[in-house]
Amino acid sequence: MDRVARRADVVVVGSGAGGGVIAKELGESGLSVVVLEAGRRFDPLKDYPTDLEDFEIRGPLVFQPGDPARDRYTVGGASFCFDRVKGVGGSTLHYLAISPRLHESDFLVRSRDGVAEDWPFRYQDLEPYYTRVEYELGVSGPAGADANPFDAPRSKRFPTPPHPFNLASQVVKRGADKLGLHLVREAVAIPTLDWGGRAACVGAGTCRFGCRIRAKSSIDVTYVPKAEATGRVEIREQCTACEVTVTVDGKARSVVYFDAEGRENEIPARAVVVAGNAVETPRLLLLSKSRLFPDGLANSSGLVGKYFTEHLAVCARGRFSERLDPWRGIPTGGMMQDFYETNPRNGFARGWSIVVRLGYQWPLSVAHQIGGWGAEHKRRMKERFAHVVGLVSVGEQLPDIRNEVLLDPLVKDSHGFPVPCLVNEPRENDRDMIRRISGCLRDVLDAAGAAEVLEEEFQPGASSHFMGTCRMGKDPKVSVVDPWCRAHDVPNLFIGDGSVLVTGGAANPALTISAVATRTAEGILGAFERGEL
Amino acid sequence: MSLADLLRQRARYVAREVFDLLEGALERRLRRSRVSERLGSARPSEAGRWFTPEERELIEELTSVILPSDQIGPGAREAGVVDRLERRLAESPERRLLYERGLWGLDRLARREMGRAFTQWNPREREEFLKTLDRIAGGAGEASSAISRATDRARRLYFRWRLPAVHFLPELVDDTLQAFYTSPVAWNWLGYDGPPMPLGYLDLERRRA
Repeated sequence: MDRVARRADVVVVGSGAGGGVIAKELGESGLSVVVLEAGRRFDPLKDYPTDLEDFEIRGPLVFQPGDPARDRYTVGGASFCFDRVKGVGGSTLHYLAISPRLHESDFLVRSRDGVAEDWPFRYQDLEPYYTRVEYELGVSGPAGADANPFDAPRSKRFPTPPHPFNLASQVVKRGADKLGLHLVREAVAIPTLDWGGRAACVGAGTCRFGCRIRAKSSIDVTYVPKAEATGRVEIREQCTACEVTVTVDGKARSVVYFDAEGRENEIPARAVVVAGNAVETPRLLLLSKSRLFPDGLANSSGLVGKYFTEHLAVCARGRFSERLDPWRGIPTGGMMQDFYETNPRNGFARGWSIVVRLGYQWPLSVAHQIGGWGAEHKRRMKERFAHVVGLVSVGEQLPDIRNEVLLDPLVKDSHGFPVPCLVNEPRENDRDMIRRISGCLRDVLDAAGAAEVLEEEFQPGASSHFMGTCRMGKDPKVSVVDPWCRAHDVPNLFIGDGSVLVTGGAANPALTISAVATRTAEGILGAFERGEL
Repeated sequence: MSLADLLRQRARYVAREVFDLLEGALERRLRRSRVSERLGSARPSEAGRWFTPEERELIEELTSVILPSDQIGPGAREAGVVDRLERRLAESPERRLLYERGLWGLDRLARREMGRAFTQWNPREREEFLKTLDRIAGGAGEASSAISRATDRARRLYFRWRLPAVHFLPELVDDTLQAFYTSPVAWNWLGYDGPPMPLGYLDLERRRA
């Protein structure tokens, strides 16, 4: 061991939608925080090439690691695409910032629909934290007559007004209106007014490749600067945690990590928050075996890594005879939640949201989608380019104990540690829902007047939403953390990311992750004040 | 995970390691090969230039088949694709090796097929030839099972070793599309008003005819 550092009050692993929020909340409350972030810090003007002619070539490379072995993973059984970003700001660096809240029913899925599990608290308990996060981020959304009729009750209106609809969205709305569906502007963490010292969004549509003007409210330009401004939060970049050590009486003692030079370090802490995402967090806990925790840290329930849940992202595109110019504006163009709740006539539980998808309709992307070469390719290009709009579902995948994250027994990453092995297959309820969603997307595009509907094969992992692997609960036998995200087994260990979500609902999880993290930070502070840590 | 899944996973892992080893060995062998000695003329000495005159003539013709200039719209020639490809080659020794072997292999194969250089063929002959190479290369299908993925990878290794023309063509098509669709000529043809930043699109509803 090269260096054992001075003890921090709290060590946070990960600086994304969970970890970044917790670091700022605890730092502002007077605690000393060290954040270990496996990736690097990004500089929008230097790193995001969206002002260049070849942005479509460079864009996808922005968040790729220098060494692919760093992010290596394997899958058990079927394929699963695990797309995430390691960096200061986590996956919010490349996300599209869709920020809906869960619905009230999502917290009561077992009581109401007889599936999955209830959350250990209700929507009303989380509501104030949703509001706080929305105001930190400057989330924009509709009000009044344009509001989403299916939204859960809110104590305050959206901080900034909604983005307008572009032509592509207006065409989809034509179809939605015909079918009696409600296409509304989705809540997005992309302010439409100057917010937090940053300029308003200009609708460039390249959120995926990083926001060059810092308009998108990713964690690195919102929570992180505030955290660092306290003078009590230190973010150590390119520092990969590999073990959380414990004392003889079963408390978290320190975090062992590799720094940018590849040296092993150890930092002691009074409390540890693990917030690497629903894959990296169980991985770290499973790597942290000890005499007291032979099956991995905080794993007396055996559920660390189990109930690995994503959303069902079924995609379809419609080609229209009129020009839509879909690339104008933010890359999502509206949401329909008419199918959110369980419909008994479906024969399966729970439901989905539909999002209008406008991204990847730039020239090279469309050329790749069309494929081929020669005169025929050019003809199809002219027919397709600027004439296509996409729809994608956020379908609720039921948590299933067979879906899990484990340590791969064979394959190692660039530090020599077992990579995560991801097992997530659509199960019976999922398969029935996927079939139904496909039909639904086609209906909307047909009603909108599409000349051609192009369906896409379902790809596990395509949602990029990862949840469930260290679920919350009151009973330590069937959960990993308590209702305040404190590990049942380890009183000074907390989980701060999407791993704790009991169910995923049919809503993009980032806002919920940040709201729960805000609440978790309050709990941590309370524990410090009561002298428990 | 079941035992069957575990064994399948092990097999995939071993196959990947074996292919990586073979690929690495092949790469080293190819670098040592003396293709450039067989070329008629030397490489240009000016910065930013790389193709010999014969290579330039060949690649101009190839890219004009991939993206022709016709009544539908402009093609590779108008967009200056060959110059763009040449500039990208300056950044990468691996790409230079790929193009060197690929162009040489294609030229040799063409001469063997028709007894004369590719640049002397008529447009229909050229298109048919590239379509045939495309078919042999396997097109753009995605392999679904582990066995077909392994077979695909073995085939690609074989082409790289023995049939550089077949290995080269999909890469050239990809590079040509990239060079064309990131050019102002293509953007004007399509009516795309990029790049996205820094101006964005505050006039969301503007529509091109």
